[in-house]
Amino acid sequence: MAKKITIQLFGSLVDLTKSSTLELDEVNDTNALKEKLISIFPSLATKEFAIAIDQKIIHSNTVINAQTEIALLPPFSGG
Amino acid sequence: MTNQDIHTRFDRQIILPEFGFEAQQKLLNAKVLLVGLGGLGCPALQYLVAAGIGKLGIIDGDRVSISNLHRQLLFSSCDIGKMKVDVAFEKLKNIHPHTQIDVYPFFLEKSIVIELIQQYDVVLDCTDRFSARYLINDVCVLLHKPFVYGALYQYQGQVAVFNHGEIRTTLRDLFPTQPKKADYSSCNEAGTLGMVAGTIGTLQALECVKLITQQKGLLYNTLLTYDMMYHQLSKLQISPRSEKMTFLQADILGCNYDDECEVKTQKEDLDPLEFLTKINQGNALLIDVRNPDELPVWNEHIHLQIPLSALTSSIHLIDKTKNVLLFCHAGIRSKEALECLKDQYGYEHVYHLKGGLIKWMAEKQPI
Repeated sequence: MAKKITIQLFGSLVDLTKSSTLELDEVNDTNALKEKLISIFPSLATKEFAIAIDQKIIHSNTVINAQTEIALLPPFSGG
Repeated sequence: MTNQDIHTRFDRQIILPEFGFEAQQKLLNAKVLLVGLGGLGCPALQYLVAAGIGKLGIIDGDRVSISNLHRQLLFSSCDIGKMKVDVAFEKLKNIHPHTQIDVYPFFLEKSIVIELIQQYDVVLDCTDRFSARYLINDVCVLLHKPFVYGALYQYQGQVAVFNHGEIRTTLRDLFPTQPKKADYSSCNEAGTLGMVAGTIGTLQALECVKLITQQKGLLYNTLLTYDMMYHQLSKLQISPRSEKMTFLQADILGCNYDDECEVKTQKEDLDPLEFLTKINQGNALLIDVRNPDELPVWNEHIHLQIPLSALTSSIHLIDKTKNVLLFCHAGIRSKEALECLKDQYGYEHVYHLKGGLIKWMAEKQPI
């Protein structure tokens, strides 16, 4: 059975995916993760969001596995 | 203020371990600019004044409206329609009379922002739009000023101290470009609870005091996200992007930060065609806010005639559940009526004909 990865979602991404956590089949890196997410939620393609891997915001493609803590963070603007 | 006065007033924070009289003196000498008197800014401001910040600048061009009152506890029903900065000044001036409060009754603009931020040590970003957030970010980077960021989305909030420390990270290390319309969601659209805004605003004031008094555990290079529905706290580490973003004064002055403001105004300022579409969508309440003797006389659609001067006395005639569509001769009085209905009476679905009947006629729309 394929290993699973768990993704935590914040802010407006929860409205978009209707869930604060997602479980997906394991992918190798964050680029593959983005592609997979957009194939499931096409409207994510136009959303800007940061990715945190093991509680660090990343700026480039990063290797992930089933143990990795993944979080997706859209911009917040309210005040 | 004598040392004895300082000890007496601020005793409970002075006696804190790792705080002391020296930290209190730092607060008394500090200059803080607080941008935005909304759900974040109101609690932050109250705590900063009470903590003894020496000089506080408060900037906001908005007036108190009825829909502010559930979360902006500085304001009362009797303040509706007054400038927020004026009300805040009156309420806070006696909390700590030695705090100098400078009032700026306008929205932050490129033309004044550099001169303004230069006068302060720290900026609190308590705004509710990306345009202001990115302007504050870029000017603080230019001027090497730290700023405390706070933002909300429904039950969640974020806090960070940007542009501080040896490795300085900023909002652009999180989101390099100002988010577009698709990402835009203010409290007006997404909703918020007063307690959520109050918690995040209070945390901003806390980080500001820790920054000034050089305490440990400051949230720099760290984004704190707090989900108050489930009480989950996440501390995410931010690192600088490899491409370093430097900002020259000319870049800032030439940059268009206002995309969202345009988006916002487009929603309520309608062109003739958009206005006609709105009429045809149904549930419309059309109101001519000109005086009864003005020409052209217009009678093709059923509408009310309520001159701007009689708006308040005729408010009971305006059904809040309808799409209220206002028009006048040139679009100036209808815009004023729109602001009045929104800000003073809490109408949410209110629009006006931009350019008025002059524009309508010029575009030959068969009204």
